[in-house]
Amino acid sequence: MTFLKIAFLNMIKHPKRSFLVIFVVMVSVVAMIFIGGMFEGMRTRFYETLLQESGHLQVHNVAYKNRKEPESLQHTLEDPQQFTGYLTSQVEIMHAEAIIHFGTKILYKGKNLFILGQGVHPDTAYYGKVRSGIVEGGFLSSNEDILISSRIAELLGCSPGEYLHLAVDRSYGSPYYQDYRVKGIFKTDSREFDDYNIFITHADAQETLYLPDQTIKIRANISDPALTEEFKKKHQSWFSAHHAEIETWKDIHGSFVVLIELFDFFMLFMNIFILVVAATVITNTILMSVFERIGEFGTLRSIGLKKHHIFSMILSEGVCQGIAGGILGLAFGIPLLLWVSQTGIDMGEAADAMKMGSTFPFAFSFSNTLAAFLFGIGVSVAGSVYAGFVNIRLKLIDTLRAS
Amino acid sequence: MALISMNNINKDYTLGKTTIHAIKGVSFEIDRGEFLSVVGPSGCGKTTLLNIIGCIDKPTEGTVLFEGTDIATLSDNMESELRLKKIGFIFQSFNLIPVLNIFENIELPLIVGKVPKSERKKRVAYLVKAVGLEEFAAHKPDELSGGQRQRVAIARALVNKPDLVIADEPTANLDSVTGNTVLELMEKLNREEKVTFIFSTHNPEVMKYAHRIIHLKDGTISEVKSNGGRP
Ligand SMILES: Nc1ncnc2c1ncn2[C@@H]1O[C@H](COP(=O)(O)OP(=O)(O)O)[C@@H](O)[C@H]1O
Ligand SMILES: [Mg+2]
Repeated sequence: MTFLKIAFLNMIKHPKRSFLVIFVVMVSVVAMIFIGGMFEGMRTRFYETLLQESGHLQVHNVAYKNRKEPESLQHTLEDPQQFTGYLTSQVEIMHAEAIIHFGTKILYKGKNLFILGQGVHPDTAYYGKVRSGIVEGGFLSSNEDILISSRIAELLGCSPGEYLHLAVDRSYGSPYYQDYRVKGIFKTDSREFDDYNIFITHADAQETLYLPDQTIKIRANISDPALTEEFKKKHQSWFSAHHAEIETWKDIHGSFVVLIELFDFFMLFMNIFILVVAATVITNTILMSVFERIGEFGTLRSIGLKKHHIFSMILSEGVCQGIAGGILGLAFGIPLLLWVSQTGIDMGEAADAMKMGSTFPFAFSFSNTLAAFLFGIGVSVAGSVYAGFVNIRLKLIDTLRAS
Repeated sequence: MALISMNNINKDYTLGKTTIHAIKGVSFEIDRGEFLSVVGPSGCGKTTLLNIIGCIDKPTEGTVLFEGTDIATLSDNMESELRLKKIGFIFQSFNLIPVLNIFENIELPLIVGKVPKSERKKRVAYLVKAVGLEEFAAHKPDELSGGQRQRVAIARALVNKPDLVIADEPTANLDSVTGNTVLELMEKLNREEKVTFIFSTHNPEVMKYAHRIIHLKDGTISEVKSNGGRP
C-alpha cells in the first residue's frame, strides 16, 4: 500500500510529467474511440442503410440475370405469395416482401423526367430513410399515391395533392399512362438517391405495368445476416424447383463488402499507427520520469526494498496514469463520439458516391470503446514495465551514484 | 565472533584501458558495539570500502563475512533482506524520500519488513524523539535543515534495530557545529542502543568520539588507532 502511496505522491509531486503521460494516454484513447466510431458508423450504415434497402437476401427468377435492360419487366416471379409465404415460414426469416422496380417517365405540366419507379407495400419494412425523410404529406397509404423527392418536386414545381402522370412500357410492350396523386415529399441524406427514385404501391405497379400476380423481386431479412449464405445453401433446391434463385447481400453488394473489409484493415492500420506513436511517447515519458528518480530508487533499494518492490512502484505509477488517462479519454471521447454520431460529419458529394449518403456516419460501439480504454492502460502499463525492467537491471551501486 | 570480518579485500575499477586499484588488500574486523571511524584523504577508497561492507558493491577479490556468512553467497533477495534487517545506511546527501514526511520516511523500512502497525508507530515515535524531531514528524524533508535531515536519516537507519549502521561522510554536507551534533547523536545511540557504527568522516574532532580509527591511504590501511580514552 505504501508503494502505491509513494507512486501516487510521486505523480502529484511531479504534475507536469504525470500530466504528460496521462495526456498522451487520453489523446490516444480519444483518437481510437473516434476512429473506431467512424468505422463502426460506416459498418452500421452499411448494414442498416444499404441492407435496409436491399434486404439480406433477394429472390428473383432464375433467368432474371439474362434480362436485356436493368429495369426490364422480363423474367418476373409468378405468384409472389408462394415465395413470401415459404420464406416467412422459416424461423430465421424476420420479414419478406415483394418489390417491383421499373423505368418510367414522370410528366407534369409539360415537363418530363426519366426516373426509377419502386413499387412497394405501403407498410414496407424497407426504404426506412424515405419513410423517415417525409418532409411534406405522408407515406404511401392507398392506390394512386406517389412519393417524390423534394428535389424532383422543386424541379417539376408540384406539391402534395397535385396529380402527375407516369408513362411506362407495360410488360407486353405497349406504352401506358396512369395518373398519380402526390401523397408525400421526401428528402434523404443521399442526393443521388433522391434524384432517381419515386415510390408507388406494389399493387399499383402490378396494375400499371400489367404484372398480374407477378413481381420482380422478393426481399427478405434474416435474424442474423451472417446466416444468409447458409440459408441460401439450405433452401436453394426449393427455389430452383420454382424457377427462382436466392442472392445474398454478399452477392448483391460484393464490392461494398470488400470495401467494408478494407475499412477493417484500414482501421487496424490506424490503430497500429496510434499505438506506435502513443507507445513511443508514453514509454519515453515514463523512462524519463523513472531516470530522474534513479537515485531515489537506489536509496530505496539500499534500505532494503527488493527489486520487485521497485518494479511494482514504477508499475503502479504506470497503471494509475494509464487508468487516469483512460478515464479522461472516455470522458472526452464518448461525448465527442455521441455528439458527432448525431449528425455525422458532412463530407460532401464524394462520400455520396459510395452510396452511403454525403455525411460520414459515426456510431458508438461498446467493444470499440472498451478496447480503446484497455489499450490506453495497456500502453502505459507496457511502458512502465519496460522502464521498471530497465531500472532494476541497473546495479545498486550505479543507481546510488546517480543521487 | 566478529560482526564483520574483511579478508584481503581488493577492488579494481576499470576505466577504458586503465585499472584503478581503489582498495588493495584490506583486512580488518568490526566487533559488536564498536564505534569505528574510517578516515583518509578524498579518493583513498572510503566510500568503496563502506559500500562493500554494506552489500552495495562487490569486491574484486577477498571475502566479507557478516556474522560468519560470506555475503558473496547471498542471492539478490537475501542481500535486500540483509540490508533491510541487519544494516542501516546513512548517506552524505541524506537520501530521504522527498514525497514522504519525516514519520513516513523513518517508518518505511518497517513497512517493507512487514512490522505490525502499532509496533511501527511506537518504534518511529521513539526514534523521532531520540533524534529530537518530535515537532517535525509531519513535515516533508525539504522543509528541514541539513542537520535535521541527517537526523531523520539516522533514525531511519536505526528503525529496524540493525546490527550495523554504515555512514559515509554523514557530516560532509553539514557545517562543523551541526556535524558535531550529528556525530554526538550517533555516539549517544551507539552507547545507549548498543548499535555498531562504522562511518567515514573528515571531521577532525572524530577522535573525541570514535573507539577506533582506521586510516586509509591509496586504498590500503596506513594506521589503526585505538581510542582508549573515549568516555
Ligand atoms: N565507479 C568508479 N569508477 C572508476 N573509479 C572509481 C569509481 N568509484 C570510485 N573510483 C575511484 O576509486 C578510488 C576511491 O574512490 P572512493 O572510494 O570514492 O574514495 P573516497 O570515498 O575516499 O573519496 C578513487 O580513485 C576513485 O576515483
Ligand atoms: Mg567518498
